[in-house]
Amino acid sequence: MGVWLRKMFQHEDWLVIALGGLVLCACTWMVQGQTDASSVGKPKVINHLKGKIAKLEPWVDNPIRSVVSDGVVSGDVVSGEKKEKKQYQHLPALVFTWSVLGILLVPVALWKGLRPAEYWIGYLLLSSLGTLAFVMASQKVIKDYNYEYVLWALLLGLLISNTVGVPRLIRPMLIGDTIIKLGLVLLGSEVLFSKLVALGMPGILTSWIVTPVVLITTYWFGQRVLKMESPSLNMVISADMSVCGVSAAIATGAACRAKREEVSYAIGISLLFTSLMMVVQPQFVLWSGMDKNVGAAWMGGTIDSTGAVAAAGALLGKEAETIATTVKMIQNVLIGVIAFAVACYWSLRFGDQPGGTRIGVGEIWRRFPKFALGFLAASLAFSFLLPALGTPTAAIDTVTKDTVTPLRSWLFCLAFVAFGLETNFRELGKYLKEGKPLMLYVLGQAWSLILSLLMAYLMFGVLYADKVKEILAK
Amino acid sequence: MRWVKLLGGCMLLAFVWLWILPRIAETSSVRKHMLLLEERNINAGAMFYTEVQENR
Repeated sequence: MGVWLRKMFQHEDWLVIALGGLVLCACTWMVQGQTDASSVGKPKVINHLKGKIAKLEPWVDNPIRSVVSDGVVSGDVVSGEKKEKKQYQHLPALVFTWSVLGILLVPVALWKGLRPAEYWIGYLLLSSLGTLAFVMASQKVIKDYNYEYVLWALLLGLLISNTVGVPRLIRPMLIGDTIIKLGLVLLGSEVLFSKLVALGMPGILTSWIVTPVVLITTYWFGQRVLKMESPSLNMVISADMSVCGVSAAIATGAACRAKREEVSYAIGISLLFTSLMMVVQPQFVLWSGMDKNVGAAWMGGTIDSTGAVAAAGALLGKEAETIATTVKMIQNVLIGVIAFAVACYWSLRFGDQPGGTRIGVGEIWRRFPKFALGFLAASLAFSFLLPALGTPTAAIDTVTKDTVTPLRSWLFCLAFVAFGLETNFRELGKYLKEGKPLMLYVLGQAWSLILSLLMAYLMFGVLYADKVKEILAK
Repeated sequence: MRWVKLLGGCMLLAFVWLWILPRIAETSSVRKHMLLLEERNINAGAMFYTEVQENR
C-alpha cells in the first residue's frame, strides 16, 4: 500500500493536497446533501458534522470543565452570577476527532513507511499531548489574553524533548511538516474572497495597501539594513507582524521553508506583543480622543491576532468591534495571496540554497512548495466554484466555521507538538540572544502603526467616513 | 536526573495553571476584561476570523 501510494504521489505535497481535497469534499457533502431549499427565505442548512469535532470549553480553576460540565458554566465563576446552566459532554466529540484525524493521517503514515502499530501508538501519544495543549489554552485568562494553543503545544513538546528526550514510541510521529501542510490546505477553504467587500473600499484599501507595503519594506529593512542572517526568519517575522499573526507565520513559514525554530520564535514574539497591544491600543484610542471608527480600523490593521483584534475592538463599543474585526478579516484573506507570492518568490530567489543564483523553469517547479497550490485551489473553490454551483453562503460558512476550522486547529496543534519535540532549546535560545529578530519585529510594528493610522484616518475619518456609517447602519 | 527535570517542569505548569492563573482571573481588571468578552461572545484566542465568534 505504501509503495503504491509513493508511486502515485511522488511528492508528499500531492498526497497532502489529495487528502485535504478529500476532507473538504466530505465536509461540504455533509452539508450540501442536507440543504433544504424549499423553506421560505434563506435555504435551511443542516451541517451533520456541526459539534462533532471537539472544541474545548473555557475553564477557570478546574481543567475537567474543558471537557465535561459539572452544571456550572465557567462564565459563572467569572461573573459570580447565576445563569442558565449549560450542560456539555465533549468526550464523544474528542473520541470522534481523534478517530477522524487518526484515519486521515493513515495514508501519510503509509507513504512514510510506518508500521501500523508504531503509527497508532505514536499517534495516540501525540493526540494526548495535543489535547493537553488545548486544555491549557482553554484556561480563561490564557484564552482571553490571546495565548493561542500552538504556543502550549510547542511548550509541551519542548519540555519533553529537552528533559527526557523524544520517547521512542512517539518518534515515528515527528511529521509536523506534513501535518501542517495538510492543515494549510484546509485553511485555504477559510480564505474567502467574498469577505473582501464586507466594508467596501475603505476596508480593502486599509488592509490591502498598508499590509503588503509594511511586509515588503520590513523584509527589505531586515535584509539590507539589519542584515539578518536568515531570510526565512526575516520573512516569517515580517509576515506575522504585518498580516495576521500566527496563521500568517505558519503559512509563510511553510511557503519559504523556514526552520521550525524560526516559525516558533516568530509565533512567540507575535503572541507576546499581541497580548500587550490588545490592552494598550484601545486605551490609547480612548485616551487620545481619536474617532472610534478610525481607532478600530487602526487596531484591525495592526494587532497581529484576529481574536485579539475582536477583544480590543469590543473595548471601544459594538460598532468599533465590527469595524476592527472586519478590517482584520479582510487582512486574513490576504494571507492566501501573500503565502502564494512568498512560495513563488522563494522558488525563484532562494530554492534549497539561500543565496542561490537564477535558475530554469524546471528547477523553479521542483523547488516550488506544491501544497501552496492546494491552499490556493481550496480558497478559489470555496470563494468562487461553490457559490457558482449554487451552494448557499450559509452552507459555505458552516462548512468552514463548524467543521474545517476545528479540524484544521487540531492538525496545527498536533504539528506544533511535533515541532516542539523536534526543537532544541539551544537552537531557540540562539534567536533569543540575538537582538536582530526582536528589533525587526519592533521596528516593523512601529512602521505598521504609523502607516495604518494614516490610512485608517484617511479612509474611515475623511474619505469614506459617511459611507462606513451607512454600511454599519445596515 | 532527566526525569526529575521533566517532573519539575510538569509541576511548574500545574502550579501556574491550577493556582496562579485562577487567582489572576479573580483580579478586578482581568474579571472586567473576561466579562466583556463573554457578553460579546468573543473568542479572544481566535487564530483566524472563522474562529472569532464563539459557538455557545
